[in-house]
Amino acid sequence: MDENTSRDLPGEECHTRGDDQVEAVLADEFAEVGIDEEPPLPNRPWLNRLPFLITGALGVYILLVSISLGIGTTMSPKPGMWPMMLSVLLIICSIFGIFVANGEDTEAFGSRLIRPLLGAMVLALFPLLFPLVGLILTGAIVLFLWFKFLAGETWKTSIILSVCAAFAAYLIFSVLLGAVFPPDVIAQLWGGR
Amino acid sequence: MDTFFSLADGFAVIMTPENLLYVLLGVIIGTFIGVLPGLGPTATIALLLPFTYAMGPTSAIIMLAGVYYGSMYGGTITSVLLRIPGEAASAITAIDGYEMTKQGRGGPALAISAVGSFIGGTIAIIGLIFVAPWLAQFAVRFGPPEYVALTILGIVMVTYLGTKSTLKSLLVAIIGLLLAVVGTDPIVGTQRFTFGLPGLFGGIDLVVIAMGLFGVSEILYTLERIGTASGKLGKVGRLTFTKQDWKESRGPILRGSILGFPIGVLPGGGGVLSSIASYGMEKKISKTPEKFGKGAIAGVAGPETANNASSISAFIPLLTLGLPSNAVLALILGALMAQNIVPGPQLISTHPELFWGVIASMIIGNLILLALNWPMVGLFVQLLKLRLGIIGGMAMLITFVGVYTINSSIFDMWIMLFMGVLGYLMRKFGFEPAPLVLAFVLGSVLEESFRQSMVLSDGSAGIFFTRPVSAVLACAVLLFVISSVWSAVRKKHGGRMTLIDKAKALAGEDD
Repeated sequence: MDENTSRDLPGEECHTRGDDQVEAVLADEFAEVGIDEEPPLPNRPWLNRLPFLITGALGVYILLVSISLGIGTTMSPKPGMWPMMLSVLLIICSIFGIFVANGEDTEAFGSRLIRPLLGAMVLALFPLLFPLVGLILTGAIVLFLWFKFLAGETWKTSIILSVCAAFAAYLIFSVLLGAVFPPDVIAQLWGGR
Repeated sequence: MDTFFSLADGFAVIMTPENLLYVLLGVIIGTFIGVLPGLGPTATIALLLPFTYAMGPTSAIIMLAGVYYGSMYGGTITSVLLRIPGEAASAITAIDGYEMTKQGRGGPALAISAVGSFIGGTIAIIGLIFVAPWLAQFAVRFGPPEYVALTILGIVMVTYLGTKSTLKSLLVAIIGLLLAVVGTDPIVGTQRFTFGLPGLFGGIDLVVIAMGLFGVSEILYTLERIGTASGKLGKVGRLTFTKQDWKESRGPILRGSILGFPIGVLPGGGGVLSSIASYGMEKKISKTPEKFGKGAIAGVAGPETANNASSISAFIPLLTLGLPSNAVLALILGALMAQNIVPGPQLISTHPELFWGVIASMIIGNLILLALNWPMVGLFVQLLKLRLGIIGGMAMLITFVGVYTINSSIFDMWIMLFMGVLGYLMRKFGFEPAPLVLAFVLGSVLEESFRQSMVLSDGSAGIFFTRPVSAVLACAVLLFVISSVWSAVRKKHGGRMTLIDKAKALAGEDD
């Protein structure tokens, strides 16, 4: 039996035959929904190790800051003691990770990555515009960009949906629930705020 | 008899129009998002957290609990009819459930899962009523060292049982603990890791982290999958089952309840693990194992019962020890802590209305779900016509507005966005966000208990190994750590996907 399988099913629920059969059925499922079960692992040692290098560096940084905060003794710990202990663990795990990394869970970074990246940029517009023009205009602009250019909806659908959703959000949150938002340039047109 | 009266008090708490409305709202929202692809229960609860701040603690938790077990019901509908599990715990149901739909028996499959879930839920509630007070009584004697050992064991077990890569999850959990350090030191008052930013002086809000890691990152993740076709709707048939169906299902339902209950109590156990375990067991003991995968009703009844039972029993460690066993319960813990209620052994005696109210709400919630499922399946299925991009956009708007309402802070929006991008990248690299949130929630109490233990022991770490309870817990921690280091070394070359990975990949979710 595959050791991973045994690891996932604790104690008595661990049945060799049953697991293999479940696995076989799941493999069929995968084939049908078009998920490759075990794509060949591309050889990209740096990409696979990158997260561990980052966490390792983070650990070193935290260790240094912790020392400057003061460690104290175990009898009278200072504020740096706890983060220091955690940072040492972080560094140990990261080093371990650098050695065992084989990228088995790393997903492909294909051309599809561009959409989530654009998505994050569109989302960044929200905190930029919101304090300046208020909820309705910000919501309508960001949603429109989202629907039209990221979700690939039609012009008509995008415009109608984004405007309606922005107004609905304003009505629900600001009018109905009484949340306080930055002054809303659109709502001010009819004397709202 | 005491139990009976306490439960009656619990019902008195729930039987107000307001609280009944919250139960109803919770289970309906839960069923909806269980049906909708893309948004899982964790993301939804993260989005709902800001709203709970305005409610009383009991109302908040009964609604969030309703979302949680409601989503287990909802996920079944799409698994059976379309072979698209709305959440990971129902992935295994998709196998035989969808086969039944292809044979025109989708109705019986849904009916038996509804009944099974109800029975599993009810048995788990009865178990909860008896086990929780007993466990709380045992835990009352816990001091800081026991709490430290227990919390660390909980975190380690979540990284070990509930996730793909133990090492990666452990790293993520440590980062969660470190994020909890940000802010003002609770004892001395020194600023730690605040970079001089006033927005960080009070620490980072759990909601901001959760909304970023689960909400925003899941929304970004849906962008990758826009345009992927959804399945074809099968024939539902009548929503009843025959005597023969019941004869074949009653065994799996009973065993599923008994199996799901203890798995739910384990940190990192929960729905996915229990449904897979139940499927494996039913297939093993079946007289006709060849029917499995070809529309065996036992392969639907067992797992569905087990995942619902485990989603209820998962509340036991939370309500008695203050230890959440998965990300959803970590968020519920966060919601309680935001209301200044710290769950622990004393909860049952200090907040009986909350404890018994939640239990009573579960009984009512399960009844509502049973009643809802039958007439409304057709309506729920219509939801699947909603396009992923539109769901994502709407969720995005709610996320940003919601996070602002907590502290009226634009800074929080940026932190959330940062966490969202971080969460997205973590997913891409196979790091699961759940252990981070879990560790973050427990972080500050863990640090305090650790410092108190050190004071108690005059600075000797031996205290964790000399007191009997903490010694047992600490040894368990060591055992898990050693065993995962061992398995990580062994599978360095060419690891295979585990069953849980597959179930999660099928569900298209990662929490």
